[in-house]
Amino acid sequence: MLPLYRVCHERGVLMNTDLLVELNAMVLASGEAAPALQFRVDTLLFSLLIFVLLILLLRKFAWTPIIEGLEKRESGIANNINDAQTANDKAKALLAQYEQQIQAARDEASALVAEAKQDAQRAREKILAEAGDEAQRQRDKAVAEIKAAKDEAVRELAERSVDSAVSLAGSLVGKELTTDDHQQLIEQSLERFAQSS
Amino acid sequence: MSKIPPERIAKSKVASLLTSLMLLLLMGLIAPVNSVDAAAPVVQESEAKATTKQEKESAKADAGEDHAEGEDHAEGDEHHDDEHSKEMSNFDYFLNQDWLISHVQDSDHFTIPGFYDHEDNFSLFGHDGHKSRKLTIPQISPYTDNEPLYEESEDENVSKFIGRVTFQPTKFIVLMLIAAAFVFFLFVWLANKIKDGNAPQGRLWNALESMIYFVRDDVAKPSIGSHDYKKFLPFLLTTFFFILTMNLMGMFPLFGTPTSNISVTASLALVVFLIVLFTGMKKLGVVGFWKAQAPHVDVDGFLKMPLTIGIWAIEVFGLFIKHMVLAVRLFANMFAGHLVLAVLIAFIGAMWGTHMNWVIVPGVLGSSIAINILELLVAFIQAYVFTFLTALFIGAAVHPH
Repeated sequence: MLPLYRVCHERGVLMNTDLLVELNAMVLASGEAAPALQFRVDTLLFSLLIFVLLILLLRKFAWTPIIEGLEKRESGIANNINDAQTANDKAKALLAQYEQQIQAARDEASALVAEAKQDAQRAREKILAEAGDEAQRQRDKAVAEIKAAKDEAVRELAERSVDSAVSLAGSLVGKELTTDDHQQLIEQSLERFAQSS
Repeated sequence: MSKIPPERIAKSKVASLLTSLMLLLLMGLIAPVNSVDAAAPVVQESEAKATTKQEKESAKADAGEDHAEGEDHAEGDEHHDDEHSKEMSNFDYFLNQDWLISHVQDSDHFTIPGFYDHEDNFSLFGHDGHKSRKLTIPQISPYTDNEPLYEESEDENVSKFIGRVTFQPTKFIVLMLIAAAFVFFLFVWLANKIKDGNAPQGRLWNALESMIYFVRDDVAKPSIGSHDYKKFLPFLLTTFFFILTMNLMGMFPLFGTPTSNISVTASLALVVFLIVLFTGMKKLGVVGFWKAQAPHVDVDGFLKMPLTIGIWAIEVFGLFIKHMVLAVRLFANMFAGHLVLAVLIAFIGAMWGTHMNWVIVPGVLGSSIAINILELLVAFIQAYVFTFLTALFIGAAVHPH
């Protein structure tokens, strides 16, 4: 194997640091493994500069707006959830209220219907009763009329029979009955007739 | 640290270990076969993704060669001439730890995946093409291959340091810039969508948002506390998405993984460390912060003082160690995973031209797919672990004990 420093130089491997040179010297002296460390102060300074600049630039142009945006979104989401919760509560209350109202209305309606039914029932009964009464009355009236007519007829018949009987009897007895006697007789016979019939 | 899923990390480690073990065994098995292969050159071509890597050490000393990156590489198609005796064997070339490590390391160029001959010219069909496989990054100061970039001087402490910091734009720097730009534009786009608080639409938006929520609610809030986390959320989000992007970059051909470099992860950890220090000192005062490192010692008498000081020293030491380990953990995980991939693929190159390749190629393809999937998982886990530990350290600084 070639000496390490020659291999490195010929391949263009950077080895221009004291550390590497010293390590190379040690390696050459001992014949041991090659150094893996490649410490260079200028690389360190360059990367320090790049890193610090990147931190500053990103903080200004990226992280601040990103973190703010995320927080804005988070608070927005939290607000939305709160609003939704409030709206939900409100809706629930309203719903309960409406349900109550509907229930009340329903109760009222059914009460109305029941009342109406009752009224109708009552009216029906009343009408029926009235009709019954009316019928009864008319019948009674008819009966009374019939009775009166019958009585009239009977009385007329009796009168006539009495008249004829009196006149017959008068003719038989030869004695003229006075008008008063006549009347008295009629009434007596009518009474008897009425009692017997 | 309670929230890191340790079994997952353990699993990835175990998987890497097992793979390495199997590879070592395989290497032992095929080593004798390999000595024959150099004598039996075959012209072959295989999967479209394959690239060629051949070595001509002596012939190409000045070329400043290749090293491809980790994922999808290296398969040989050989066009051997009669110069064989001078060359390294395939086996020595591909299963060489320098070569393997160079795939994962930083460099001054990108390597285009494809078919290449052993002189590193593009050659899908024989020697026709002469296009270099390297995309070299333009350098401010000329990059020299053959000399170290630091200068030896009498006053070694000063000049070495100055010489070392050359501000050389390397592959990983370019990749970091790409990653940073990608993350920046992605989240500016997302910010424009989110800022009005609209509902998310589409897969990308939802996916990114769920990750942001994850970092906020499962990483930042529980670790730092719901009062203080807001100040650190931008930093944690940047860390998570930047590291994740860099980790995932290694999954693409031509790119590499910047987080597999210790300098890069060290810079990340350094920022974390500085933020922890400043946060703690702002909250507790400079003296208060350092004093708060020592826990209350429930001992009376003359032992109390030395014990408190001793424990304070250990805690302060631990504070530094914790942040160094933060860098090393990320670096080592990404480095190791991609190195395993490089080793796997190198087997194809090492065995090319022997009869073994009929076994090796399907085996390597299958196992490298499996390891790639594992690497995808590791990329996410390591980004999460880094962010989570960062949040824990900040939380510990804000609320001591």
